[in-house]
Order: sequence, then C-alpha cells, then structure tokens
Amino acid sequence: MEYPHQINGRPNDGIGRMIRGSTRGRYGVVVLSILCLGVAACSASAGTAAPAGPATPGGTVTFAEQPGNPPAYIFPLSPSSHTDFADLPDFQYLMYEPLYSVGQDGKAVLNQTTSIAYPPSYSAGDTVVTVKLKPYKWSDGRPVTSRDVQFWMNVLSANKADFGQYSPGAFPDDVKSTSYPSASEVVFTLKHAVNPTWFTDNELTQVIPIPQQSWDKTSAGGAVGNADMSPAGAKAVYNFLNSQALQLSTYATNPLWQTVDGPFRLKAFTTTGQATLVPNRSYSGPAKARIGELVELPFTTEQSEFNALRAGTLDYGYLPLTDVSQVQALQAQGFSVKSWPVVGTTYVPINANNPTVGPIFRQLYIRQAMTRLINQPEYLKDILDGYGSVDYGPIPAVPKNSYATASASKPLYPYDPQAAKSLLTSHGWLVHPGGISVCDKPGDGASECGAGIKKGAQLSFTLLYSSGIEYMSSEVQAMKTAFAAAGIDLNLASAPTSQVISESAPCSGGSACNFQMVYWASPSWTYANANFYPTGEEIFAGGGGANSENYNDPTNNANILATQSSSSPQVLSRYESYLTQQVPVLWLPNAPHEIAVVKNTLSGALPLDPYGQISPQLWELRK
Amino acid sequence: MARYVTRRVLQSIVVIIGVTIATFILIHLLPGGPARGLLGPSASQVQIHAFIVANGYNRPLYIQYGHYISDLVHGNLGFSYHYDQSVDSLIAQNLPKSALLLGLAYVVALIVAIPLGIAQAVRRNGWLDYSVTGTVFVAYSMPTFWLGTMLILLLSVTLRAFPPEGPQGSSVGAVLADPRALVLPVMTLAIVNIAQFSRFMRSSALENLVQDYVRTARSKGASEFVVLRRHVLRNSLIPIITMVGLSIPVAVGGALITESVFNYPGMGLLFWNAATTHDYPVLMGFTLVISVATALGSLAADLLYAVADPRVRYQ
Repeated sequence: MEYPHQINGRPNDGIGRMIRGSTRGRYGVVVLSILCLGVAACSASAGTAAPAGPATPGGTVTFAEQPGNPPAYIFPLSPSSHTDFADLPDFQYLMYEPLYSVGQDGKAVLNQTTSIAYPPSYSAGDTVVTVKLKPYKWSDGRPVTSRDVQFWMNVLSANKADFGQYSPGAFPDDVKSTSYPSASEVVFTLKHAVNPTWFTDNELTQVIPIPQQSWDKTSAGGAVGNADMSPAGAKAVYNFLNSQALQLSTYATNPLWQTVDGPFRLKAFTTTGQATLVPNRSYSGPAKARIGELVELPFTTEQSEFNALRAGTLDYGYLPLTDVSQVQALQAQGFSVKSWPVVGTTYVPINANNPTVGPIFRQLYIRQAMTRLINQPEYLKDILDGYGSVDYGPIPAVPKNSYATASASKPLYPYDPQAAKSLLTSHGWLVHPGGISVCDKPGDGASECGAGIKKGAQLSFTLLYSSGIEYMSSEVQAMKTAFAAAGIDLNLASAPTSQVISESAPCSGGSACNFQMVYWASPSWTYANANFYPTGEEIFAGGGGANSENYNDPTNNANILATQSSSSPQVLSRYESYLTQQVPVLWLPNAPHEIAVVKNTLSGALPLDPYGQISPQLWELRK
Repeated sequence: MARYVTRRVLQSIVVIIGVTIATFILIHLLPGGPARGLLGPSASQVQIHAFIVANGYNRPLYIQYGHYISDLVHGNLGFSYHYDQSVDSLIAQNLPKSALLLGLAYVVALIVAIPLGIAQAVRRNGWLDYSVTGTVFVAYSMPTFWLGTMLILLLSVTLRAFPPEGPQGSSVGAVLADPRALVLPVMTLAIVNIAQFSRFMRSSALENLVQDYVRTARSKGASEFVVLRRHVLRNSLIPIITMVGLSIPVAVGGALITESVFNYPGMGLLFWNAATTHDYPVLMGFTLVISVATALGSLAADLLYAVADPRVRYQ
C-alpha cells in the first residue's frame, strides 16, 4: 500500500515532497510544506540579487536537508519507509541514476539530456517497449549495460513486496517478459497495451541500473557471480545489500557504495544523516559536477535550519513560513528567495466508507455543497499570504504543465454559501445555520437525502488535521466557520502528521475505518518520483494504495485505466474533468514545496524543478 | 560504610527489577497488543502472526518475561521499525551525545554556581548578593528556547563568534573535535542551571554560616577561607548533591529544546520523534534506560551524602 507523502507521485507529508508509500517521506513533506508557504510571494517579490562574479571551480556547497528527515537508505531499491525526497532525489539519484529522469529547466517534461537511456520506442500496439542505453560508465570504468538493468529487475522481481514503489498489478506485474538482446538494449514485453507517456513517466522511471559486477553477491566476503539469475539467489542478494544499506555508519567506507554511475559519490556520512558528496570524476553523463563538495546537512527543526541560514553557514536552504518576514533580511544577506511550487494536489479526504457518515459523503450534492463553502482565493490571500496556488482538481495548474486543463484554476463550484444551503434544502435537509442540519426526508429520490441516510441524520463531522502547522490550523478554522453557515458542524481535532496519516489508511469499513475527514499536508500528494504522469490511480482509483477517501466510482476507475492505455490528451482531460465535477475530496489551495533560499554566489540552482528535485551537478560557486 | 553501600545497591537492584516488570507490562498494554504496537499500524495480520510466534508472545507471561530479561541482559532493547535500527543502537548513538552536552553544562554550572552561592551567602544583603540574585532570577525565568535563540542571534548571527549549531559529529570523539560548536548549547544549559544551583547553594550556605560549629571554628582562630572550605562548603553541598543525583536521568534523557534549537540530535529528540510516530520500541527502551538512570542517580546521591556527611552512613 502506498501512502500520501511519498515523492513519486505520492501523497505528501505536507512539505510537498512525497514519494511512494513512505511514512517518513510524508512526514518530511509536511514539514517542508509548512516551511514553504511563503514561497509564492517570495518568488514574486524576492527577486534575485545582483549577479555574482566569475565561476570558481571547486568549493564546498552546503545544502539543508528537510527537518527531521535525513537520508537513511542508500541501496536504490528502497523500501516504503525510505522513498521520500531525502532518500531518493536528494541522495540516491545523485549516485545511481534512474533510466529516465523527468523535469528539465524548470519544466515538467522528460529530461532526455540527463536520462541514461535514449527515449524508449513503443511497438506492437504499445505492448513492446525497447530501451537503448546511452554509453555510460560506472566509476570503476566498466560500462553500464543491460546486464545492470537485468540485475535490478531480477532483484526487484524476487523482492517486489519490499520495494517501496511497488503496487500490485503495476510494475513489474504488468511486464510479461523482459529480454536483453544486447549490452545496450532492454526489451519489455507487456501484458497489455499502455499509454507510452504513462509507462515511461511512471514505470520506467522506477528502473535504476545497479552495478552487477560489484553487487551481485550474497555476503561481504563472497565472490561476485550471477546469483541474481535465480529467484532464491536474487533474494539472497537483496538480503545482503539491504543489510549493508541498514548500516549507516559504513556508507562511506563500504566499497559497495563507491561504484556509482551518477555525478557524485559519497565521501562521508554520519549516522545523523550528514552526507558529504564529491564529484564522480569518471562520470560519463552530460554535466560533470563543478563544485568540489556537496555537504547535505541534517536539521532537527526548521528553526535551527533558519538559524544556520542567518548565520551564513548554508548555501542552499529554505525559509520557514513563520519567518517569511525575514525575506528582505535574507536578500540583504546575499540570498535569493524563491517560491518552489511542485506538481501536486491538496485536499481533505472524506471517508466514504465510514460506517456513520460514509453514506452522507457518498452523495455528490453533499460534496458539492461542502466545496461551495471553501473560499480558496481567500485562503490563499489571507492564510497563505499569497504563497501557493488555488487547486480545484486532481491536476494543478501551477507549476505550469501540459496536463492541466482550464478547470484546474477555475472553480466549477465557486464559493457560494447560499448555493450550498440550497443544495441541502433541495435534498431534504432542514438547514440550521450556526447549528446542525438534519435529514428530514430520507430516501434516494431526487429531493431526498440519499441512500443510506436516515431521518434525523446530522451534518456533523470530525476533521482530523496535522498539528503544529499554523496555516493548516487557520484553514480548518476558516472551514469550520464557513461550514457552520450552512449548518454543517465541523469538530476539529489535531494530531501529529504521522498519526493523521496512519489513521487515514484506505479501508473498507469496520473499526479501522472510523476516521471521517483528514488533512495531513499541503500538497497532500505530489506527482514525483516514478509518478510523474498525473493519472492518480493511487489516490483516486478504487482500491488505490493511498485512496484515503475510499472513493470508488466505476466511471472514474475506467477513466484512470484509459489514461494508462491511451496517450490522447483528451483521455487525461476526461479523467480530470470528471473528477473535478465529482469532487471526491475537498480541494484546498496548494502550498509550495518550500521557500528556497539560495546564496547569490551559487549559480545553477535555478530554475527550481517542478517535481522538487535538485541537480547539484549543475551548480557552480561564483565569487 | 560497606554495609551502607551494599544495602543501597541491593535496594537499587530491586527498584530496577520493578522497572523491568513495569516496562514489560506496558509493552503488553500497547494498543492492539504488543505485536501491533511494536510493528506499527501498517503491519499485516500475517506479519503480526509471524512476529507473535517468532518472539514468543503466544507463550505464558512468565516465560515471556524471562526472555525479556534475557534480552535486556544481552543489550537487546528491541527493534525500531521506524528507523530500521535496533533500539540499543539508537540509544548508543544518542545517549553519549546528550550525556556529554548535559554533563558539560552541569560541570560548568557547578563550577560557577557553588562559589557564587557561597559568595552571596557570605556577602548577603550586599550589592553582590542583590545583583547576583536579580541576575539569576532573570536567567532562571528565561525559557530555554528563547535564551538559546538570543545567544545564537548575538554570538552567531551578529558577531559570528560561534556556529549556530552544535557539533554535527555522530560520536563523542567527533563532537569533542568541534569544541567551538559546543559553546552555545553548553552555555544555554549552564546559564539556567547556574541560576538554579546558586540559589540552592546560597540558601544552604546561609543556614550553615550560623551554625555552632562555624562559630566554634572561627573562635579557634581558623581563617575565613578554611572555615568556608572545610566547614561551610562541605555541609552546604548536600542539597546540591541531591540535585546532581536527580540530574543524571535528565542528562541521560537529553534536553529536547536545546537539542532542537542547536540542531544537536540526542536522546531528547529521539524520544520526541518516537512519541510522535508511535515508535513504541524506542519509547519502551527509553523508559527503561531513564528509569535505570534514575535509580542509579539516586544511588549515587545517597553514596555521596555518606561521603559529604559521615553521619549518614551510620543511620
């Protein structure tokens, strides 16, 4: 099961950095989101300071990790607990590059330059995918070959339940067979036709070639062989590599991890998560690192990170939302402050399977009425101080991307309390503004409350939200006030983000399904690592691993399936439009991923990646 | 003295055994049972069943307790599924750092507070007493996070004299290799403790200064220095010894706020993160360690009483 908060097109922990199914990831994301609310305004107003002088090769760049969320897993076949930004794009991908990377020059597109394979070719009715590797080399001088892809595939297939980005039925379950006709060619034969864009963006981006010539063994002292060629051997290989990856104190000294094909290699690592990366001098990719050293610094809190920024010990950090008033001080100190929006969506899941209020949430008119009580532009202006963007559907309009339609930024159900009351009244509810509305006409007729709703049922719900996040608290308070105008009573409760997430796992009923409404982070879900194509199967499809609202609509399920097999933009638009109209969740404004703060002497860090990734190989220090 | 020590050690062992029983019971009171509590909310029924069988949770309680004690004796405090690490390794990583930070702060505080308190008592109701009393009240009233932040703003952001973070090394040796980074967090904790210790020392010294044995010493011609060092100081240390003894579990438990402000992950943050993520194995391990530290701290204080005041050992 996947949870919000994961980077790969997965739920967010709140900070905007989400990867598949990782609780830690979610948590970190939430924190970042909190930190970032001021970004949009920052980006608009906090221009870049005077350009720095000429480039100076080498030098040390210090980079702030997310608070309380340092990298802690190096083997690029990560379990669900290690699939967030800290572990993947900010750490693993700098040393071990995926077959395909997405995001280039601040745009949400496949990055053909940095991908280590040429664009895949699809044939046989999009059931056969041929991948040709570029002539990359490992740091030991050996070429990156299809055998390295095969090694990863074999280890994955034998241990897929341990892979954090695995979803039953998806990769590699949808692959009928894989062949390796040459050292530079991999052919995936699929069980059914796919949408090439979806398969490339969401499936092939998971594949990370790993050095078979160094890692294909089952013990530290064992000989390298072909153990991965049998399922039992592949399991043993995984167990060995996983055991090595759990020994954080040996990351920099274990020779295993020194064979890399990415732009960096690990020089030092502390168990607290401070990583020192130096350029891989044998890197065969397009952009060799120009800085001498990248030091990723762990922080316990956003405030300690901000202290480090003010003290000048960081080159690349983030501004906590609570310190947005310090933008000018940071600029005067020689920093650029930029809002960092990412492709994600923010929403309050409403539990359609809750034994008590589920029947109410299953009514479209109820969801429409509740949506009409949320004044997103006002939240954006007054609560988020203009940092962020409105979000009315599953695909956001900001940052600019080719997937969103006009409905993403234009509300289908704009704020209108009177219309909300009318919807309730016309469906058999006695509306009591300031009190609690009750169902007066049970039944499933057009003017009745709806199937499963008994006479006297009340519009009173509990909304559990993440504690300690000021803007989230303000948003739910504003919702409570607005909802009261239509006689919808919101009981607010807060808990640590991890608890909110764990209590809102998809469920089918019973005591484990008691939550009613939850709000864990903004963005709640980020389309990132290996989930770049925003088809939303995990968050909106029936049975989706992160479908906390337990929404299960046959039309929507069919629409999602269609997006996976058709590359037509109309198909994706149909999915988006239908879901926007159905409002399976209560959408809220997207907060930025973070408010990035970059020293003016560091060039190449901008523009910011729409998927929240960093590319330090492009960074350069200037005088 | 040997009999006294033996008696107190045995009492401490009984307390520690009681603590293990309490912790063992707590594990069984975890929501959803020990397997669900220890594996976390995302564990499947299959995983839970396998865990129960593998760890003997389907066996009689007394056998489970025996295994539990056996594990403790071998240093096995459980496994954190949140961190993917054993609890003992997590504590081994964090405890020395917290103990070092707080230990240094206590040493600095005692070095300053003891003579300061005595000086105040000797010069009571004078300008020194009034000014120090006012200052320590201000220091004691300051929230730690505010004091730490102010020190960072002044000495780090403005004067650039010290780094805003504590040492980032993951071992005690690495921490000690960066002494400049230790200054601000140690100073923050020491200031608060100086305020506390000096007040106790002043009041204790005031009581002793008017005792008969002090007057007798003076009448015998002993110098003021000798009177203070040999008679007043030793007798005035009893409340300080109590406080230091009680500080041992604090030192082991870490200082959450100071660790947060100065980005110095230690036991305080470990406990906080465990509490907010329902990481019960860590919470249980932490509870056990703190409890043992409390028993040992109390034992140490009692033994030091006997050193400071010979009458104690004969009671």
